[in-house]
Amino acid sequence: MKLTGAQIVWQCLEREGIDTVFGYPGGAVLPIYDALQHTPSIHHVLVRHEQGAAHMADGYARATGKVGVALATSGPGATNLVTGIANAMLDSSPIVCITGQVGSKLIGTDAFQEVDITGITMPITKHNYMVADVNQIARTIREAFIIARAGRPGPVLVDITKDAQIASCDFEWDFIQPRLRKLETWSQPDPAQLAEAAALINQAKRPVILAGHGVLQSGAMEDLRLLAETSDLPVALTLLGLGAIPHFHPLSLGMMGMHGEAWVNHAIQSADLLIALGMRFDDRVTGKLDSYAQGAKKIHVDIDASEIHKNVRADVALIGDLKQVLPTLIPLVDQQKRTEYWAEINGAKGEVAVRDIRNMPDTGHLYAAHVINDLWRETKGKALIVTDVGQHQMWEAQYYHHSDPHSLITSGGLGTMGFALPAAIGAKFARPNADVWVIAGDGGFQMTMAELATIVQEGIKVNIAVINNGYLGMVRQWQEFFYERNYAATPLVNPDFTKIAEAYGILTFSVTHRDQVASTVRKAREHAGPVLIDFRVEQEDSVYPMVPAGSALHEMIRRPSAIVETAADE
Amino acid sequence: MMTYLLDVANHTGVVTRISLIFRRHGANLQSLSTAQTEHPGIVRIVITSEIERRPAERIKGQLARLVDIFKVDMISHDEGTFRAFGMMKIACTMQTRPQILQLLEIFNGRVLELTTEWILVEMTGTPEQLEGLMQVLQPYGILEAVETGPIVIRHKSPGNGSRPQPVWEVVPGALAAETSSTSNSSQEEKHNGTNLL
Repeated sequence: MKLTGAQIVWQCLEREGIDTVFGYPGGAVLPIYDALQHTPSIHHVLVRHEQGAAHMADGYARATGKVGVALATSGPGATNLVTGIANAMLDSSPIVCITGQVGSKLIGTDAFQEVDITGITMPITKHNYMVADVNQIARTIREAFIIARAGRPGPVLVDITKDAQIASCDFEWDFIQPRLRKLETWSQPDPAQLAEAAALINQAKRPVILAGHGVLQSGAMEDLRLLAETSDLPVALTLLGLGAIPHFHPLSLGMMGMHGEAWVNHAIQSADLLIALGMRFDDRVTGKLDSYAQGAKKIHVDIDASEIHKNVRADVALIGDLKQVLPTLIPLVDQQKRTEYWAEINGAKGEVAVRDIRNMPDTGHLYAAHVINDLWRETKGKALIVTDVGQHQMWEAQYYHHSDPHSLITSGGLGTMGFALPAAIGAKFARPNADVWVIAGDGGFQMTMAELATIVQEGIKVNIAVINNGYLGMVRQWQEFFYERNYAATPLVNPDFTKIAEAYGILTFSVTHRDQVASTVRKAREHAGPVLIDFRVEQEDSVYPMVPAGSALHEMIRRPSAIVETAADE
Repeated sequence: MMTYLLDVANHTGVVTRISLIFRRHGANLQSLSTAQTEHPGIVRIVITSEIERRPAERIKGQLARLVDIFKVDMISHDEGTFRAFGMMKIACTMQTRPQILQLLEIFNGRVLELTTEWILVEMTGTPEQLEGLMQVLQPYGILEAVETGPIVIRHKSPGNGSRPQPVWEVVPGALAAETSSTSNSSQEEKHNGTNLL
C-alpha cells in the first residue's frame, strides 16, 4: 500500500493506540493536518499555544500511563513545545512530540520558520530524531513510542521535513522493524544484593521507606503496601509519589521534604535505614546533603541506573522495575511489629500536631488551606487534582489527602508555572469520567489561561479553582523569610478572573468567605459545563513547615502556632 | 584524568549528545577520538577529560542512558593499552641536529622531513611518552606540534576475552498487541518496553 509520509504519521499513531492528539497547525505540518481527515479514530485537540499541547500530552500520559502525543509546526511552533518537553523529561512522563520541519533542501539556510529543534531539545529529551526520508517515518515513530515508555519513561521528539511528509512510499505496518540497542534486562535482580537488602531491613531498628513517582509508574502500589506491612515500615512520600499508599493507611507518614511535616522529616533524619523506592533524592526532598540522614544505611531501588549514587550513596542498589524487584524482595523480609518505634513516631506527630483547619477561628479571612480541605471533603478525596506550581501546590499536597494512585498530577521536577490548566485538559481526555479539578495560583494561571478557549471549544468539563492571593505567593514567602520582606516584583495586579472566564462562556463564582467554599464547590460539581472559581484568599499566608533551601532537613521553619488536629479530621 | 571508552551507534549527532553531557557538568574534553570498529555501524569513541571522580561517575551514568550508546567504560591506565600519535616540527641548526636525532632514537620518534632549519618528526606512544618527547625537545624550540587523543584496547575484554558484541534489537511487531487493547494491554506494553531499553 502506497501512502504519503503524512498519512503514515497518522497510521502509525493509530496503530500505537493513540485516540487523542494535541496540536497546532502551521506551514511545515500542513500535509500532516491535511491527512488527518483519513484517520477518524484520532481526535485532534486544537490548543491555543504549543506549550499547552506538550502539557496536555503530559497530563494525558500521567492520567493513563499511555503515551501522550503533541503536534506542532516548525520554528516557533517547535520552540513553544520546549518547556513542556523539559517538564515531561524531569517528571519522567512518556510523550511523543511530532514537529514539522522545513523542506530538506532548505535546512541550514535560515529558511522561514526554520529552527534546529533536534539540536535544541537534545538535553531535554530521552531521544530525538530528524526524519528527511519518507521511508524512515514509520520505523522512527515506532522507535519513538518504544523509547518513550521503556524503562524510565520520558519525552521523544520526531522532527519530519515537509518533503518527507509529502513524498510517498510503501507502508506495511507488520514489516516495520524498529532497531534499537538492547540493554540488560532487569527481571532478575542480583540475589546477593537482594539478600543484603532484606538483611538490612530485618536488622533495622528505625527504617523508613521513601516512595516516589516510580511506584506509581511501575504500578507497584500493592507491592509497596505489602512490603511496608510485612516489616511494619513507615512510608514517607515524595510530592509525585502521593497516592502510592493511601493517606490514611496506618503506615503512611505523608509527604517528606521541604514542605513535609516536621515529624516526617525528623523520622527520616533519625532513621537507621532508608529504603528508597522509585525516587531520586531530589534536593527538595533531602535538604542539605552533608547532613541528610547521617545515621542511615540506604537501599536504593530505581529503574534508572544513573540515579544510583547520583545524590546519595547507596549501600545496596537494586536496579530494576519495582513491580519485578519488590515481589522478589518481600519473601526475604521477616514479618515483624515495630511497636516501640511506631509509638515514638506517633508521639512526635502528637507534639507537633497539625492543624485541623476546621478549628481555625473564623476571622473572616479565607485561607487556601480552608479551600483545599473543603474541596477534599466535598469531593470525598476522589477527584483528579491537577496543580500548578507554588504555595497552592504545597497546600494541596498537605491538605488534600490523596488516597488513590494517580489522583494528583503536578509539575514536580521542573516546577513549571502554567502547567495545571493544560495538563488538566489532557487528563480529562484520558479519563473523561474523572472529576478533574485544576488548582492554580493567580500567577501561574495567567501563564496559560488562553487554554480556557480549548476547554470551551472541546466542550469538556474541567473545574478550575484559582487560589488568588494577589502575589506570586511562594516567591513572596521566600522574600518574607530570606529577603527582609522586600517584595520585589511579586505583587500582582490581576484582571477579574470571573469576567475573563465569562467571556469564554464559562460559569464562574467568586468566593471570599470560608462558609461559601463547600456550597460553591458543590454548585461547580453539579454544573454540566466547565466552572471557574476565584478564591480570594489571605494575601500574606505562608506554607509551613519549611526547610530553607540549603539547610538540613530537620532545620525547619515551623508553623507560628500549632493547631490541634481532631480525631474527626482523620 | 578520566578516560571513557564508548561503543556508540554510527548516527548523526551522537558526538553532540555525548559532548552535551560533559558540557552540562562543566567538564572540558581533553581529547576525543572516534574510529570505526570491526562491527559495522558501531563506532569506538575514546574521551579523556580532567574531572573529579564524583561528576565523572554521574557523567558515566548519564552517557549510559543515551539511546545511541551501547557501552560506557571508564578505564585507568593499567587496564588497557593506550596509544596516541603526535607530530612535531622542531627548530634546529647544524649544531643541534645530531642531538635531536639522538633523542628521537631514544624515544622511537621517526623523522618525516628534514631541512636546515627544522625537523618534522612523528611519534606513536602513550600520552606520557609523547609528553616526554615534547619536554626534551622544548629547549630546541618547538615550531608546531599536534597530538591526537589516545585510542585504547582493553587488556581484559569482558566475557571470556572476546570483544563485547554490541547488540541491536530488531523488534518486529513487538508492540502489535496494543492495538487490540484489552484490560491488561498496558502490562504487556510495559513488559515489552522494559526489555528493550
